[in-house]
Amino acid sequence: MTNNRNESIDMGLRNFIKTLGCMTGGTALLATTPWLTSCTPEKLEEAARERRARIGVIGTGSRGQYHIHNLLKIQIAEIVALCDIYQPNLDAAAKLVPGARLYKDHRKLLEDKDIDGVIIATPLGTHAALTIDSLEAGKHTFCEKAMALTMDQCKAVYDKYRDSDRVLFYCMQRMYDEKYVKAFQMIRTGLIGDIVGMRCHWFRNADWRREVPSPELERLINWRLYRENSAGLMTELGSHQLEVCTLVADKMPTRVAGFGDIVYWKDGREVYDTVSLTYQFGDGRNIVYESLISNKFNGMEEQILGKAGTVDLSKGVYYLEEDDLVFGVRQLLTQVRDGVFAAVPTAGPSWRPELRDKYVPHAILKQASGAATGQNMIGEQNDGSDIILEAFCQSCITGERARNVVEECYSATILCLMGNQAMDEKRVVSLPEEYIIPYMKF
Amino acid sequence: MKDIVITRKTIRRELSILGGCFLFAVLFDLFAIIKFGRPFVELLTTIGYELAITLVVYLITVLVRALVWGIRALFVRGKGK
Repeated sequence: MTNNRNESIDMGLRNFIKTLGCMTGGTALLATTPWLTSCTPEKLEEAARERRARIGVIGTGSRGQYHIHNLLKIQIAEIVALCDIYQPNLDAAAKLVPGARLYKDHRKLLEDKDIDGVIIATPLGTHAALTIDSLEAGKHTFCEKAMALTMDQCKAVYDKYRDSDRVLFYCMQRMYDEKYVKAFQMIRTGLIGDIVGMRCHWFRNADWRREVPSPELERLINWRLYRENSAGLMTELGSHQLEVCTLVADKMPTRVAGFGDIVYWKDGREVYDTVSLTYQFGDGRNIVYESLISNKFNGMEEQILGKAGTVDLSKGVYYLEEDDLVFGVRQLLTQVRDGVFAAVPTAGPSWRPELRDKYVPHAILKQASGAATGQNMIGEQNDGSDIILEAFCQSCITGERARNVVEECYSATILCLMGNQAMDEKRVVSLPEEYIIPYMKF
Repeated sequence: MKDIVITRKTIRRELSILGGCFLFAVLFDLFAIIKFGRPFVELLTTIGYELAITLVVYLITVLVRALVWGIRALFVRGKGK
């Protein structure tokens, strides 16, 4: 096999973990992100000395090929098998990995004894069955998010994982993104004080459609638009952002209300193109979530609102309510400006609008890096999934599970599905007791 | 076309006004530092703000003086008639 290994995966996160481990209290800080303890630089070196992880890829469409490109750069990975039911995608992937064995039935791939780990990059509706099959076949498994299309399927996957000794990863790349990890720790250490709420949104302006060579392939290729295989914006986009919220809050919301509809793309699709929801924690705090795909003005943001400040995780910046770093003269000029231009003659100071532009952004990562500008999550070149993929390959060799990744994906997926149910039934939906797992805190 | 002659007296007057504006900016900065409990080193690190304030205040004095000069000129012309 002629894998291109000239360009190795960015070691930024691993160096960060190494630095973290060397810091005073670094062990305690790592304890707040326990999933990282399975992929330290030392363990990677050890794994690399042992052998390479033999990987099979199920689903070689655009996402599968994206993973293949990343795998080709990972020195401890070797792609040995590919599987897809759609021949053009299989052919395209085979060109990337000429020596790989090709399958059209995933069960045949799972019978292959020379495979350590399986990557599943198929439509959401197939995630549960393929993951369960893969774990039953004794393969370490890496699956695209979200976990499954229904809550019952989620529970079945979780139970199978719990009873298995295999490694299971979900592509929740924010858990392995340096600026997110750093921000989690800054929030835990009290940077923005008590968390009083969260606001997340993801706006795009595109129809989500792909070109279809013949009409009978519409539901196969444009699977995201149809409910038999997709739960729409919530699982495709919202799952990432809700996962961040539960990680930061370290607890689960207990109920959700919201509205969703097909507002603009009335092209026969079945999933909403506009969603707006409020999740509530047991203590009254809220996550306000919004997503639509017919306007991108607001972009993607994950704002954690604290009494003393705000962290915008996706942009990698934070703002303080009382900012010590703002020059005195600037504060005085702002006061003068507000006194001249923002005075409200009919009321006292409580009626004055508090303007956002008085906040000064501080970078979460001090070094000059795309991470500080949000590029490594939403940039076209790299969405951050390469690091988590490498961590999976390492686990395929060591057999060491990444703690909390499955549980976080389970929790986020359940929240997404609760949100969809609330929008479909136009009512407040509470977290069903039968889907509560021991990991969840309230 | 007539040559424009800027006398030494004019230059000295404008420099004095500019100096006064800069002094005002420094005192403004000093007041802000005391009011918000900031370190005094900000008098140096915010020199850009001070220069900007100096320029703005100087431009305001120019506008005010031009206005006064204009009104005075109107009165003088009225008396002349």
